[in-house]
Amino acid sequence: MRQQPSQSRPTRRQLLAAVPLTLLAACRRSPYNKADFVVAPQSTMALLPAASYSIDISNIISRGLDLLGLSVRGRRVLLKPNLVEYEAGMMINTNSMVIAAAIDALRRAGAGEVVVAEGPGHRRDTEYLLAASGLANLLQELRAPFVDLNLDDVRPTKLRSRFSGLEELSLPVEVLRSDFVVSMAKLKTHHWAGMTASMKNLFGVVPGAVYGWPKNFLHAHGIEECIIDLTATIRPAFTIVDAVVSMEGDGPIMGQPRNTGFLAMGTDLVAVDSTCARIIGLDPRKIGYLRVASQFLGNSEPGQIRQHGEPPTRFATTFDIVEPLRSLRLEGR
Amino acid sequence: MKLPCTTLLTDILGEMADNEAVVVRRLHDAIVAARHADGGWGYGADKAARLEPTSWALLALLDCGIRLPNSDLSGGVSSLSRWQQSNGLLSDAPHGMPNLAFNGLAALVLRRMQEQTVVNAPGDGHVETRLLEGIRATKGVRTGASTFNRQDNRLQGWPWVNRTFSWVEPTAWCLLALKKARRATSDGRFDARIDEGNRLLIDRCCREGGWNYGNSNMFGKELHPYVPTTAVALLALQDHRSAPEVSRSLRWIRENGNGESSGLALSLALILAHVYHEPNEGLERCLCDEIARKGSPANPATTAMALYALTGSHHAAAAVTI
Repeated sequence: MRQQPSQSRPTRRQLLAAVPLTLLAACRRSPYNKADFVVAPQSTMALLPAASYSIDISNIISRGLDLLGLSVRGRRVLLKPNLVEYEAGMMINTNSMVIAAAIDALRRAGAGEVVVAEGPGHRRDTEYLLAASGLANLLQELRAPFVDLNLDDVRPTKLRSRFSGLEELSLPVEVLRSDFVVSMAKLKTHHWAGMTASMKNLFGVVPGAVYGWPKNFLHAHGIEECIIDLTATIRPAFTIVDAVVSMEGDGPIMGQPRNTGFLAMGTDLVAVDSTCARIIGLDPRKIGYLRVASQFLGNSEPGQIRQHGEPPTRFATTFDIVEPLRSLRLEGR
Repeated sequence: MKLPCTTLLTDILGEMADNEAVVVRRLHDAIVAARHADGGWGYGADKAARLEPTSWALLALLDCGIRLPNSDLSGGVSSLSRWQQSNGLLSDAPHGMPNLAFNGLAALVLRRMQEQTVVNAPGDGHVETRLLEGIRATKGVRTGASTFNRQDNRLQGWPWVNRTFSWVEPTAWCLLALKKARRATSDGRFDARIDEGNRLLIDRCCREGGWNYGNSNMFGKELHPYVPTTAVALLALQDHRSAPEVSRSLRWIRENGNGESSGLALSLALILAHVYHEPNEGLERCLCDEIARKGSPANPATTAMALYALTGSHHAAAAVTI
């Protein structure tokens, strides 16, 4: 099975990319209240080398927290990894070692509580997914609670932007009561959205028991529009993108592993995802949701992003992508 | 709160090996303990009552020899009727949308209540009638020919939520519910939907047998089947056993039924084995071991599902048998 958009509307991505935001705004009620979104002139992020999952990733994450000057002391932290499907040898999910390392780093940084929470968007059998991926055992060893967001209690939540046309979604209480949400994404190509990283990862907070598996309800309202609305509404405080081994080709499930050797971290998800896009040879200005999000949610241009750690050029490569997405490539890549 | 075993459950436990009886007793106690004051069940003891766990728990109450006072069963029925919308479908979340897979399951529970006539809550037959009508009237969206996979997108099964595409699980549960009702009531209004549901499931069968979540292939690649989806699709197609897709899928699940170690997958595979009269000792052992190893299933829905599966030799999974 593949996640697929509403098949009657296959050109939402092109539409979103082609229509200037100002025109969208002129055609209908503004999809967001400008006063709700204040973007700093410059964002800061960290790109730190991580050659494999067997090294001390916890220290890398601690270093990222230090470089970014983030304090989690006393916070109720919710780590939202990307768990989709399990196939032996494939790099579909946020690696369990990165999740375990983040739990350790955040606890050492003084977090009051660290909860791992995800609502897998593809596999309905979360119990199987946790066991097969090895995450269940790791969480047990670390005595870290896991919440299946697909089955959590929900509360109707007004969306802070309405590009999808939706006014509200029923969202998990666990997410709503956390005061420090961390999007722990896997860097992958995505055959509908172009790329999936910290923003697309938020599809997993939408509860399957309400909206079904996969999150086809979101697809029917526009994948890219929903990515923006979810990011604007949940506003994660931090993101850690697992790009130690990423996925190229026919992602987000059936692509091929690609060693990329880094973790990307930051508080501005648009900046982190835009940087990841450029690293793998995609132009964030051509990825509809990043282009629109850069207008009000965060910074996208290299000049607006202060890099800690390594420069993006150190990890730059060109990912194989499915044919319909080749137009998203950076010039000359 | 722990209730004493009824004679019926005691009989069931008495026929089981000691380790299996321990597991079944533990599941029974967990279901009873997880019951909310209003008669419903949530995905956790501290979580709000929801449609899926309430439906599975009611099925366990009905068929696994757990005879609580009628008023408690009525409480479960009241939960279902409380969630009924004007279109007949049940929605358990505030401002939420009806989840069609769980609506199909709930319709099977209400049918089983009618069959057992253990509950005479006022209006429960009416709740079932309206629910079935809501299910009959709901269709997945129809789209044009696909450019990225080999399937017939004109077919309309059931979506997870209204105005989205058809998927295997909601189609299977709703199809099974309509087939059960059709047998009981001879209501021909369901025939067209039953026929289209059958055709959609056959169309989406994986090349190697079994079912993925919705599509059998994508961008030229064949997709793999899963145990839970294959089990529910085969339940829905139990009256089409001569179809090559059913034979192929049955062969696949015989070989792979215990390959996904979870309460959900093993329970559904075991329920399927009861319905198809397949050998099931291996699945029973795997499920008991899984529960014993983990201490308890993932949530009350899976707990009730496992209880229903492990007591299948007593009730023959009649609620999901056409």
